[in-house]
Amino acid sequence: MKAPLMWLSDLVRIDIEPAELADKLTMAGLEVGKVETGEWGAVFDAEITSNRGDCLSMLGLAREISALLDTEIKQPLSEVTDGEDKGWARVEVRDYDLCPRYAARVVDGIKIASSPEWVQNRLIAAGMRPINNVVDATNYVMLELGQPLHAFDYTELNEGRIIVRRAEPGEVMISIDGMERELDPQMLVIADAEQPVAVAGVMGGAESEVSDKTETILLESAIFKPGSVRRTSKRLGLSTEASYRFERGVDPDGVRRALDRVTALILEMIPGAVVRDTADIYPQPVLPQRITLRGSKVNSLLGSDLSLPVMASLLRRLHFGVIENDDSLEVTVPTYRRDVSIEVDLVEEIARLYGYNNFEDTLPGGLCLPGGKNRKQLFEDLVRDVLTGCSLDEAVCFSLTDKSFPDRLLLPPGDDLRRTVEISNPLTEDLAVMRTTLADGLLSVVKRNLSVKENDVAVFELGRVFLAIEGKDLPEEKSMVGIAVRGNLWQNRWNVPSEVVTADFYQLKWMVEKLLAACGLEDVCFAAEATPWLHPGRSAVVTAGGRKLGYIGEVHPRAAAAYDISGPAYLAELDFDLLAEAGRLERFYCSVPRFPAVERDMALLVSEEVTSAEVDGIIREMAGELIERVVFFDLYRGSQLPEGMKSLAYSIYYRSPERTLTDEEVNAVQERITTALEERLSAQLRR
Amino acid sequence: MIRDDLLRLESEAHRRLSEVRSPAELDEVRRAYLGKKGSVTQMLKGLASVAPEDRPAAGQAINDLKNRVSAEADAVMLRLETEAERIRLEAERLDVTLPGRGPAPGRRHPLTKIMDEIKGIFMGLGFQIAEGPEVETDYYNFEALNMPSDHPARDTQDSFYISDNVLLRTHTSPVQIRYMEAGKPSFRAIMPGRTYRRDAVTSRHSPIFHQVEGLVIDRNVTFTDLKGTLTAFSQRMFGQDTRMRFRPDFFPFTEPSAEIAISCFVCKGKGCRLCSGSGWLEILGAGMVHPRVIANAGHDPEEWQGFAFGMGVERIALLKYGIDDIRYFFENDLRFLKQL
Repeated sequence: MKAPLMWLSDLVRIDIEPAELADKLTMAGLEVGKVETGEWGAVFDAEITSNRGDCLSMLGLAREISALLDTEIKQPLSEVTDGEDKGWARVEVRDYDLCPRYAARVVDGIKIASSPEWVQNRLIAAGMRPINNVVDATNYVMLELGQPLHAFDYTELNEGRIIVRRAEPGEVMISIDGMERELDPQMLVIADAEQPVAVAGVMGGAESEVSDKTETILLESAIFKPGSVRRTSKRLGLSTEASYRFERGVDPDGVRRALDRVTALILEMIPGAVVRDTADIYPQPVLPQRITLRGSKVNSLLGSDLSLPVMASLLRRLHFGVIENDDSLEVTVPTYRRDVSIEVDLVEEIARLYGYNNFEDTLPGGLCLPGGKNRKQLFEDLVRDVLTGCSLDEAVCFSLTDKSFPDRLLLPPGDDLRRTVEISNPLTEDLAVMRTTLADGLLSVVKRNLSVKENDVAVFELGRVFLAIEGKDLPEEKSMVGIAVRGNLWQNRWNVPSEVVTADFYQLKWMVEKLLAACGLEDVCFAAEATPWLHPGRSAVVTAGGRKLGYIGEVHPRAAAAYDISGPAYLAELDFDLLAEAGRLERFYCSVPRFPAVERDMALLVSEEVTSAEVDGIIREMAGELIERVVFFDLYRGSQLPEGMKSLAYSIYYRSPERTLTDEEVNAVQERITTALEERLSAQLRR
Repeated sequence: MIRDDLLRLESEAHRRLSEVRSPAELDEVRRAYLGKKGSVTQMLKGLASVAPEDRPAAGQAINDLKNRVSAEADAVMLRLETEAERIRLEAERLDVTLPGRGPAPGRRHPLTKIMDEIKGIFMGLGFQIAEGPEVETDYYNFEALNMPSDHPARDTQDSFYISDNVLLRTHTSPVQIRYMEAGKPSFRAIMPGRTYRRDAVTSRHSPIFHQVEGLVIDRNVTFTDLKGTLTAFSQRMFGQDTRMRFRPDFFPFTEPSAEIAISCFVCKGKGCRLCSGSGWLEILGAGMVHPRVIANAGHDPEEWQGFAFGMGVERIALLKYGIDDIRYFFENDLRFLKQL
């Protein structure tokens, strides 16, 4: 809200520099962004928080200034008396619930012209456009006192009547901006005997608008319920100076004063104007609220040591009525301070006038637990540690995406991940649904980087996905950890063989294995199983203890194409919540071996269908307790081998915690293994 | 006679050893003197012909000679080996200016780093860390926080709605309610998380962003505690010489409410581009928790009181790293991620 210093100075004596005043206002909660100085002198641009509707006027700001500077306020008062002739202002309020007070006055003998220069200048300085003398007068008084006013052309009102009522279904009205407004029964309107002539508290109608020919006007000064005005204004998509003020609350006690003030201004501007009569429907006058303020409450909340007289004096400066008791104050709240209704509201008033920065800085006392992270948060740290240790950079993607992501990910109809949570009022189509997987975001990260020629992408994300649950308001929120890799994993790789550094399935698997091991997961299994957006022959499902953790694999060429990704890219995604639940942060010591291990290598010729897991399983099963580790070290396919066969080579480490193993017992185990492999997998030992 | 022979032999051996250039030559010289048929060995064998009374002295002299030659030969061997090693190592010389190679460590996202820093400071002050859902009901996001429908304060929090009653949380404050509902006072926790507002993507606004909420509730927690706690936080986060400015603001869920600025850490308060010339950077909103909010969460506001605060993680990251566009945080351009 713009407030010219010249206008404020009418209402309160200001004997400090504008910049200093701006700072004082800011520090009292009325943020003055800047002070403009120009044609109209200094103009303050104050940002009024939504609780301080009472400050949306020169008078309101002047009251604050008077409190800050501890000076008197000069109230703008005008007295107007009605004429002899009655029965002009005929007002009927049907919906009191939305209109607690409605005052109207008819003024005759109007001659529409421009308003005097001083009025125009003030309006312009305050950021409003002069229109004509009557409209300018209503705007002038609104700016001065904060009471929105409206002037109707009285002769355009059917039967000269005003009826305040809810709109009827299907009613329409052309507002003064020329737009046809469709009204509904939730909106309050000002109607004449036949039709709406204004949307209450929002905008007047074009038909009854004051025009050059207007000779008689009906001035409206009323109070409309903030919530109702706000709903109507939102529904019509129409916010005006009036609606802005009504939404934030207007002083019901100031209605008559504003009406008198605007009348007096019109009488001053138009010599021939005559007041006819006035209506003021105010069935339940609002009385000033009284609040008991305990001194102990003030000091207990603020951590201060203020005396009752100090509190009382601060409140009086803010124009509260105060009676001092032994240990409390009886405070009378002016009706314009609609934001003050309970004790703590007064505590804030005291604190802000005393100055926040004048209070001490202390730290909370009392018992306090050691601060810390819970189990899940510790796992979050662990995941980030391990994955950054695997050379992955952390990405943070939007959790909103477009509706077609399930199609890009080749999800079949009815797939679980199509249970998206949809935004009913999206801002743009690309932020219209919540993600159900991290895959879409991570592939978009690859896409984006490829588009700027960053061809080597290795990223992870730890974030939530959202799955709608039928019959429930709130969706399921799961945290997932996802990895995407493509291209070279090492930036500096001169003379390093490319298979060492190029992202592939096994590089990604190594990262996932490291992660699962670090999280203390046991019984981890990678089983060939397809995921819609992964290569069916190059993807696996990861389980731990039989529970599905997620997937890993090469991106399906069609899915890759949907993200403009050329060349193979690899994705993994694990259920973080499950990882944290099944994982283990505790570590236990196991004695360092005292006896040497025996290492045996074994190369096996097996058919292509045989998996390493099968071989590994048989080795472990046959070796029993003596086995320490089985390390796969070579895969060979080639012309030396029979068609459809491959060679798998393992190092097997045997160790006993109690003695040095003999060749004989290890040989016996090796023999058992070989026999089992031959029998069950038709494997041949390569010698 | 023997003495002369010994002197001659020694000087000759010394000369030959000093001329040795390779282990093979050394071997040859060693053999020529100390080998089975070497001169020194021969002399020892010739002792038999020496008069018995002279034998001990002669024997001693020859043995001394043998030891000296042997020691000198060893020294030569060491010299040769050192030299050979020097040559070998020289041949293995690397170009140390070639770049190192290997996988580079990955980086945490800048927002994670800031979040970690914030968490660390508050954990040191005895705070727990709590979380809540991103998809919220109107009740937790607004109503319980003393922001009924039709409250104009909702204007600043334009929301993404799922249905009339369900929306993406516009702030982390609903976690305050859930946290208080779930436990018994006292409370001391921060609640970091992702938040959503229906703002178009610009260099300054993102419809998706992050906040850290804080809550301290006990019997005697005061406004001065709020000030002290947030001052301690800000000075740890932005430097011990950071000055604080607390001024009144309005949030429906706190009373009194405060907006908190720190002295600009670039210009130290003189005014610069970062702080738009004001010398101050607004970083936090805070206040004493409104009694209705405490009551809504199921506790007696006459018995329990305290403060709450909230800050934008992106805002702090922008300031700390000197980033001029909020979009960088979510574009995941590696040229950005690899910098910080």
